[in-house]
Amino acid sequence: MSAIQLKQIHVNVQNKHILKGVDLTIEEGDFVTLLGPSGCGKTTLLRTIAGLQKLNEGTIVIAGKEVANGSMSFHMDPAKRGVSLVFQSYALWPHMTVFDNVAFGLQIRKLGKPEIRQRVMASLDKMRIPELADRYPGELSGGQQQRVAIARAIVTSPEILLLDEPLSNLDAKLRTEMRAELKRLHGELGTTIVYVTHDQQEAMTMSTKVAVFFGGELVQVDTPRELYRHPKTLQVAEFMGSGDHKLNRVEGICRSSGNECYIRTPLGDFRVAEGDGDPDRGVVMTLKPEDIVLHEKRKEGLIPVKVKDVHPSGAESLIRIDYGDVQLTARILGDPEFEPGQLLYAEIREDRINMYDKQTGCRLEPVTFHIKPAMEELHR
Amino acid sequence: MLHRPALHAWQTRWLNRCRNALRNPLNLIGAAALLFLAYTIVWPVLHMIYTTLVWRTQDARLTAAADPGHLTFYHWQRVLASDISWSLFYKPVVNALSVGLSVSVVSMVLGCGLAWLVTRTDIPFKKTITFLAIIPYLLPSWMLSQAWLTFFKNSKIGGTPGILQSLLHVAPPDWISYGYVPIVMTLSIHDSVYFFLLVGAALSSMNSQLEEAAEMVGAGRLQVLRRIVFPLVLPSVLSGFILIFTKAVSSYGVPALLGTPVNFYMISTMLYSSMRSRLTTEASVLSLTLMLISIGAIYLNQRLIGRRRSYVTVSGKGSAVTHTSLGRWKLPAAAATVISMVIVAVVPLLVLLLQTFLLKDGSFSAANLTLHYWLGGSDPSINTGEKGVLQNPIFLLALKNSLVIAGIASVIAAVMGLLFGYVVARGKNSAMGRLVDQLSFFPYFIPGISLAAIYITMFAKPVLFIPALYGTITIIILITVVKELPFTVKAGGASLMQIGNELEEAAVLGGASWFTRFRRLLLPLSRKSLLSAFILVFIGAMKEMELIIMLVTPRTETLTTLTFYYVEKGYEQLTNVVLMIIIAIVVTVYLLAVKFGKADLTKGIGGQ
Amino acid sequence: MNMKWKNPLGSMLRHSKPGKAATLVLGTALILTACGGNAGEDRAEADGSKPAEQAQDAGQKGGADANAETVEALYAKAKQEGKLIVYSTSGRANDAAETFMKQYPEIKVEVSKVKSDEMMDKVTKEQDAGQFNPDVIITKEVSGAVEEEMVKPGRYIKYLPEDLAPMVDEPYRTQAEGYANYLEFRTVFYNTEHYKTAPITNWWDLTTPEYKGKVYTADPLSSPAFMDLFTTMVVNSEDMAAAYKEKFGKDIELHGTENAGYEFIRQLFANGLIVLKGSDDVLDAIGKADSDAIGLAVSGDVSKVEEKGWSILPIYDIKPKTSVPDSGYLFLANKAPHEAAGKLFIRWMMGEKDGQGEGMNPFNEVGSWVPRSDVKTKNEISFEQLNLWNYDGEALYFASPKVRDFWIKQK
Repeated sequence: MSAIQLKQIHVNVQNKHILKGVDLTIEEGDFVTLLGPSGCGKTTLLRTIAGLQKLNEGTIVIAGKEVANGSMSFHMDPAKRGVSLVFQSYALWPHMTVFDNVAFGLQIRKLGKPEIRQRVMASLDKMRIPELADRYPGELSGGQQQRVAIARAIVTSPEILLLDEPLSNLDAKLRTEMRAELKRLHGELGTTIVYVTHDQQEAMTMSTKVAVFFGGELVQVDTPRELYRHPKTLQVAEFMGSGDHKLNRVEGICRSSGNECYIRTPLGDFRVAEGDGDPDRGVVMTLKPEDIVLHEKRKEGLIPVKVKDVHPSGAESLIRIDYGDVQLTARILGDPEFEPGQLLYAEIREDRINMYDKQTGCRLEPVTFHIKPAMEELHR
Repeated sequence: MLHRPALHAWQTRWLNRCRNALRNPLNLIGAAALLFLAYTIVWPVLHMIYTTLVWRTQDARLTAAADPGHLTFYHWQRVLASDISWSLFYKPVVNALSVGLSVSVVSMVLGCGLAWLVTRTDIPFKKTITFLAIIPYLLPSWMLSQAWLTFFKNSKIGGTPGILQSLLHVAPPDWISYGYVPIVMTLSIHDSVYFFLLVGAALSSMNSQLEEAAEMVGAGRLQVLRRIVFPLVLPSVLSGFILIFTKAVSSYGVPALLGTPVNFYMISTMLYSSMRSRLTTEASVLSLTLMLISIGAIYLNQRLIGRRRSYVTVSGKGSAVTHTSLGRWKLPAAAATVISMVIVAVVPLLVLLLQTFLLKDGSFSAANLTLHYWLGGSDPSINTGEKGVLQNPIFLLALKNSLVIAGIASVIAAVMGLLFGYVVARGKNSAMGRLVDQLSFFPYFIPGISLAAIYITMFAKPVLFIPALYGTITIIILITVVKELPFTVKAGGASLMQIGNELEEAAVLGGASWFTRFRRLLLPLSRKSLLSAFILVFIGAMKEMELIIMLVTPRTETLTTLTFYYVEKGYEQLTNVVLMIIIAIVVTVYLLAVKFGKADLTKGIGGQ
Repeated sequence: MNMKWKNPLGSMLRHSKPGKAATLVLGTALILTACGGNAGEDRAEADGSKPAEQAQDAGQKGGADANAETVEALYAKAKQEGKLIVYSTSGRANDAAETFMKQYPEIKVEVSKVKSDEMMDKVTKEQDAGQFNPDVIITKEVSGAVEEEMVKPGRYIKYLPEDLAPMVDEPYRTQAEGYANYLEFRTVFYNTEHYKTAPITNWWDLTTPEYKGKVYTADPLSSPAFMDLFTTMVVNSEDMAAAYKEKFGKDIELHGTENAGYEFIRQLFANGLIVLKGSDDVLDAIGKADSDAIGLAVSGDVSKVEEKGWSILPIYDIKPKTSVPDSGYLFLANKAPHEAAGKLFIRWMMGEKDGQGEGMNPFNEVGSWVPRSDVKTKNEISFEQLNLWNYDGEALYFASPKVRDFWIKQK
């Protein structure tokens, strides 16, 4: 049985159409990340699942039970859905101690005092902050507040834990630490986790599944690996490639001849299966820096490139190279002693190349690869 | 379970919708608030509007054309478009508007400045300053205008010359002695405490990181104030602005004393005159125009708030408030603040207190000192045998009634303000929220006497589940609560607007019912504002006169009706004794509230 | 003490869980009240004549039964009735109440202090709602409104004990709307340090250059009794015109005004009249320090001279007439629940049959006159010698709004 099933979710917030028909199924024990740029509706979806936001259309089924139905105007009480939510702002009650913050939900359920005490302390133990029980939120650091917020969410042993950008307010070091912590927690509790973030790295490291949003629509749901390797659209590819993962982007043109379709790029020509569509459409080829391997010796099938500059960062280095007019970035392990202007030979891992229709942004399935490096002759 | 096959889909949908609507606390409280406002405010106003549109028997005084019982626009025309309109309406309106605006601006500067000093800087004597800030409001506003005259009086109104004139031998010009300037100054000093408390609450709950962030990028202190702090507390500032504006526009005592010598009339003084002259319909028309002005002001207010959305300064993320250091200005600033406040607030108070011990006013010899006005028995040579206040047989009854009325009314008013404020804050984008916001403002514009007169009719006989309240203390409590709604709702709304919605949502997920949320989250989180509302309403109720006098029966005498008796007989010392007792009670209540409410008006919330 | 505040508001709050039903309920409530309110008013207006008859009845009965209504009989009856409720504009009623309770220890008196205009509203609303609370009304006139709106419709009832009537001066015996146990009036005061004798003898003196910017008055806009004086001058404009001729030796010339009364107000303003808030402020202005200014204030304020430290004296002879009386009327309220006690109290306030009763003492002061031929005044001049206009309630009632408008237009 799936933990959460979302069907054709439409949500308007203040007369703005935020979610436009989202379908998503989340399996029990999954750690699903809702990923997308800010304003894409991922937080709204999270709030809709929690029941804090009413949906206009569609249905939500949690653990086999329908909890919301737009056409019936049916919305189950948030508290009855068996979910917990950790807010981006933590939403800790400033006038209560950490203990009371965590105990609140249990007090509402009218549990006995000893049981409350035991469960609160267990929860604080799990978050490794039992010593903070008597402090007030105003006296805690950001990371500590974060842990309290999570402790409060898990103390009721929810079937589903929702997290809304919980790490966005932390510094880099704390963030890495909390990531590990969350992963550990997921393993320990076995709870289904839905996690909202705009940080693709966070999504990659923690989730079992990533759902990418753009403009209120779900674009791709995949395992982190598949998402990383084969982003479904150019938009996703670029979003995944932003930040540290500077994506190489090479434009080309698709020409059809007969029932075949050829793509000509400065790096070489490719054949793709799809023959339909505009015969002379533009195509964008993407390639990740780590998928370019640099050799000092010339070999068959390698492209000659010139080193522009080197950006070492200890464990790895980014090397900017020129291939004619085309600028590429390669990432290699270690700290190689390349000089600007040096001639190198680049090996491109062709199975990692992705092709996108420039107009629609959809990924094209390449069938055969590299016919010949277009510039090879020149360098010889 | 919700898809019973017997029901059609549309029926289920409809049922669910009703269920949703009923489950939303906003709708429930909003509906309750609207019902309450409809009966206690809208209905009286409609009644008033109706009376301005029909001829009454008494109108035969005004014109032979009067035709009792029939509809007419005569009254409106008389006020708005007749040969006396200029003097009766337009000039007073212009005066009222300019006084209202100026008082708002001046009290904003005074109140906000003080609030900033107390909540955001490391100025010493914070508790003292906070306490002093409330004192001018304890004094009746006419007393402050009297103090103004004592200083700035010129020979125009004769008598003993003002202190300034006797010292400098130069008569201050009329514009300093009377009219616009002194009215604005006294009202500002009297009412700026509203700004202080409203804005102070907002400021103290503001995360100081917001200020620090601006300082980090190199903003100067003034820039931080202007560009960061001010916009953040703007909603509270605007609330205060509207509140003070309406209070100033409708004030009577001060403009009557300071305005008449230079023929400076405001709508409120004209209105009072109409009342006294039994031209009640004219008075109704004038107060309705006051209401229209208020609606305009509130509309502007909402436009302004609407454009800049209100800010949540209490998010669920705790943060310690750090105080801006005043550096070497610390002591001078504290000294200047305390000294000027002592001059404005404490000196008049002490003079008043001293006066109660003077057998003959103005003579400060030891032989003239007496406790007669407090404790003395009947002595035919003093005040024609009037006994000291504590010997007055109705003193105890009046004291008890005053305490009961002020105590109960201020608690109800404060909590009600928070409830209505909840509708205003959480429903600020809904018609319901706006309606509650606007309606709750009306009571400031209905003259207390008119409201009270209508309440006699409304509550003299039982209506449905509402029993006959006239003659009981309940009706006095009710009218006090209603009359203070403009302030309490603003205070409640402003304080709730600062509390992030997520704090409540977190509790919703925990399964807390609305009542639990209110009791355990909203109430403690807005404790500060609640306390301010409680204290101000308490003070207001202890001082209230016009409102109560119509509804008081001999069984429900209060301390203020006692002063009314003394004032009328010209027993100044006795009046002041009662005033001192009232002030002592208020100060005690204030100190108790601060001590046992565990909330300090100088500190932010956060449980420190 | 009867404080029934245990549940009403609480139940209202508890009942405020709305829903359709509640909306309906309130809707109906509003409608009901709406009807109730209107009906009440209509009735009051329609019944205007009826209570008047009742009032006459009561008056006749008062007369007929006067012999039966001995003090002893009234006291005996009053003892059965319970606590007496007095609405009074004057705090001095409390003093009278205290002596009354000493004289008649078995009757408790409670006095409510209310302003005259508010009292009219209060009593009207109460009576329309079927609540008959007060027994005795002690009130000043409000430009004839008390007579027109309260006495004529029978809400306030004239009561003059038959055995006391012969001692009462006119107009209070038969002509006035009721008996007044005292009266005072507005007149011109001067500073006794500056002037040895009264500086003016004619109202028109105030308009001469000698007093330019030196005349104070309490604001008639907030004090109807002051307006009544000016309205009376308008009503008796021939008198004013005659006084003008006497003063200046020529006929008055009207500058766009209707008559000599209005002309007087106009010239007063033209001569720099200074308006202060109240009577006390006027006397502070002219009496606290040496001053050549003069001012209009209440004659009764003379009694406060020592306490306030004023050096002032009122002028009791001004042409054409000194002033118009401002009377403290005593009425029985319509359907007074404790009628016998009320009558007993009014007798007490009147000074009883012999004019020696203590109840009158608080009112027999300098600056005030008790209109009884057998009571000795504390003033140097007796009531009969005062040269006052008649208080014509009906005329004032209809003329005062116009005079008020005229006054407002002067500013």
